[in-house]
Amino acid sequence: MSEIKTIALLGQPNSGKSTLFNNLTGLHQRVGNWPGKTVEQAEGSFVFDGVTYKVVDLPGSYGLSANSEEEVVTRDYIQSGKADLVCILVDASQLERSLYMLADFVGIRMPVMLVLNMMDVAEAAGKKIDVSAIEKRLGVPVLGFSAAETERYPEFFKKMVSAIKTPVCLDSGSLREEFVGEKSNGEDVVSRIEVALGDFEYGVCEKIWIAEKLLEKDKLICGVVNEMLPFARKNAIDAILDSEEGRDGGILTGEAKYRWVSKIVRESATPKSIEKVFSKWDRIATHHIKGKFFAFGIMVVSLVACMILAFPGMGIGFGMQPVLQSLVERAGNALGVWPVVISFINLVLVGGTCITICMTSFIFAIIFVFRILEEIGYMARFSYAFDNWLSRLGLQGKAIMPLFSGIGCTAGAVCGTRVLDTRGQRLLALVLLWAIPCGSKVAVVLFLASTFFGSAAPLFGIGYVALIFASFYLSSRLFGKKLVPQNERVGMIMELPPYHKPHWKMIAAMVGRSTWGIFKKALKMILMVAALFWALSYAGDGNVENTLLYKIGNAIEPVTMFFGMRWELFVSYLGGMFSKEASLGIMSTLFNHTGEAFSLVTRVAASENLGEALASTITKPEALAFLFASMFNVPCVLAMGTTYREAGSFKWLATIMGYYLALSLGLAFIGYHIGLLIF
Amino acid sequence: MGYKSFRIVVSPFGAVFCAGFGYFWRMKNAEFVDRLSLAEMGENRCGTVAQIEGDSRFISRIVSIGLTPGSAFTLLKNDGRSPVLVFCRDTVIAVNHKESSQIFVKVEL
Ligand SMILES: Nc1nc2c(ncn2[C@@H]2O[C@H](COP(=O)(O)OP(=O)(O)OP(=O)(O)O)[C@@H](O)[C@H]2O)c(=O)[nH]1
Ligand SMILES: [Mg+2]
Repeated sequence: MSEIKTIALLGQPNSGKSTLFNNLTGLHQRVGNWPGKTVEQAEGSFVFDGVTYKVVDLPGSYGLSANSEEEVVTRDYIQSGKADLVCILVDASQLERSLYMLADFVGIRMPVMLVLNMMDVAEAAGKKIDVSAIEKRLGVPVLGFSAAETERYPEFFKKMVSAIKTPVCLDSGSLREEFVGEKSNGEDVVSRIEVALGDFEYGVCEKIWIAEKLLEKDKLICGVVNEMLPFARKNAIDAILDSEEGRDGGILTGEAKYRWVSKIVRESATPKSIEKVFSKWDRIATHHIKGKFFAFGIMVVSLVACMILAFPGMGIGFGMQPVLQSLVERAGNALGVWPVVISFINLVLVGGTCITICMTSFIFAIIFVFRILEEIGYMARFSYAFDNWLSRLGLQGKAIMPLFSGIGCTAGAVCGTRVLDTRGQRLLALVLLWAIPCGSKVAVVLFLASTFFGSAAPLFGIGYVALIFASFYLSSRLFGKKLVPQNERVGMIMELPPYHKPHWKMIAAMVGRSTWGIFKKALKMILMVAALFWALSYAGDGNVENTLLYKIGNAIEPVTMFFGMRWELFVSYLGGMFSKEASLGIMSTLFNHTGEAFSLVTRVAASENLGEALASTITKPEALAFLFASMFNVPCVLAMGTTYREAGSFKWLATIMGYYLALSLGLAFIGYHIGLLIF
Repeated sequence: MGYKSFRIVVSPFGAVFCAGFGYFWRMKNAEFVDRLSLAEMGENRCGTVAQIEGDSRFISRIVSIGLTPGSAFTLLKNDGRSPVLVFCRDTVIAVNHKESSQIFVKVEL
């Protein structure tokens, strides 16, 4: 049995953790994160010199405070003491600022190694960084590195092996000096709190670290201390925290940490010209009017790029289906397999796989395009431009990316909500997102509108957009107050990273892996739901009236007619929850009486005469009802699945689903009854 | 006591009052100038952070991204509504406009 060592990667956002992680572990990793931002710890492994190393890519955060869920994840992992080595990455081109993470780590008794990443960028900017001097000061291994350059990895391995062989922790003495300052020893707040803490022990955290976090009013640590300390000592601490120094504790510790940092790096400060830092491009991209136009331009370009990228996958998915199905049918018939088995294979297995390919190819395209925007550094500017609008809804600028990508594919966009800082904002974004129609939904709605209302269809298009914005307003009213209470509305505080050249190979590898992960999960889910629908809609003799769905549909028709939907339409509406294509497929089966079982998975089985058949059977008010119902129908199974995963609770999925069912049926009801008056 | 003696007795008080009020008024305005917030600062000016106000969560977020009392910065952009952009410790940092009014600064002249 070989040894297993665990390495945790810690660092501020954009310090290059994921780059290092991906280059170290290659294919041996469990992904589940939205590429671009590590929001959930990703794990992978590699073997070096016969030793297996497990690598954990922690979410980026600016420090070790517990302000957001990601930060809690990061800190919990560090405090669990599971890692044999914590590898702290800092951006060498912004050394002073990013070393804050290291300063915040002082007082945690875990072996560390410091990686000064992006040395290439720092060197290009003319910065001279004396790595060995820093190493001497800190007393822990320090490496000047460039995670994006593969030829530098041998240096990393060498340093890493020796760091694990002789583990050293950071010494908190030098930071303590910063707290003591000019006071005589033991007089400063931190020492006083330490004394008050007495023999309090908390895992790998030294008392100095606990004292800092108490001063910073860190909720988790305050809670722990409150729970574990006897009453008298708690009071003593509260008194110190309430004193004049204690009240400004967060500032006090922050200043001390930056002083500590500035003693480690005396940066050869090269003042940059403003033009270089904040270019003409940036002036446009962040302008409150031009920036938005610019962003819309980029959106259009990226949507087109998504379409083009998704096209091959869609082609394969849809093209394969009839070929495979006829193959299965012929083979099955030749072998004398029961028709029910053939039907199952064709409609569930083959159909399900093909539609999964189509759906994931869209997700793939979105991930790819967004990863590029992120990598270049534009995504931050994009968020910046929309911060104002979104903060009115209770969100912040970063939400623009997932909301906008919803136009391409809701399921993909749902994963993107992870970039938001608080759970409340994430849930609110999920709620809003479901109202944004994906490409397929737009196609279905436009098809229906033009079938029933001909030349008035564009009017419906405009009305639809207006309704979407109205629904945003409604949702932020209904959910916003509770999810993102006024006093918790945190605005944007983030870094606008400098523009980068994209590293194509890395992007491709990352996107490929994520897509594969999503495909596997999606396939499982889609096959399950397809099997369920198949069972409901299978009739041995091919007669629609012998299906379970028909029986259920007929039984509830009196209720659904209340919303203006006869059972065929209602079943199509339900099918729309599976996928938008399914809704059309079901309609063409039911209205054309083609005799086959319902198929959820055939693409626009909307044969040419579906339009005629619909127009001749369905009355205008019913059409109006169905149109409205389709506009705000639940997106699709895949979106439900990802929403469940992101929301982390079934209750929230059910709430969001219930909300949209109510919204769409309510609109259908209104549409139907208005229609009855008009037509 | 006649009106004249009343005036003689009262006027020193009046003078003191006026002087006091004037001083108070000046101090108030002086403080106003000193307590310029980031949200009110003009573009392309340099300054240092003087004071940060707000709850511990806000302070921890601002401090950890690199703004502490005493940090020198250049204000890159402030259009009165979009987040304020400052360049500090080699980094361009965006701070929501409303929250930037909780950061007080000393402007270099
Ligand atoms: N030039 C250069 N670019 C790098 C280097 N390391 C990373 N990058 C780039 O820096 C950007 C951010 O890198 P990531 O690996 O995504 O950063 P991260 O630390 O995982 O960020 P979060 O997941 O948000 O915490 C990417 O565009 C990388 O290509 C490096 O050594 N040199
Ligand atoms: Mg990452």
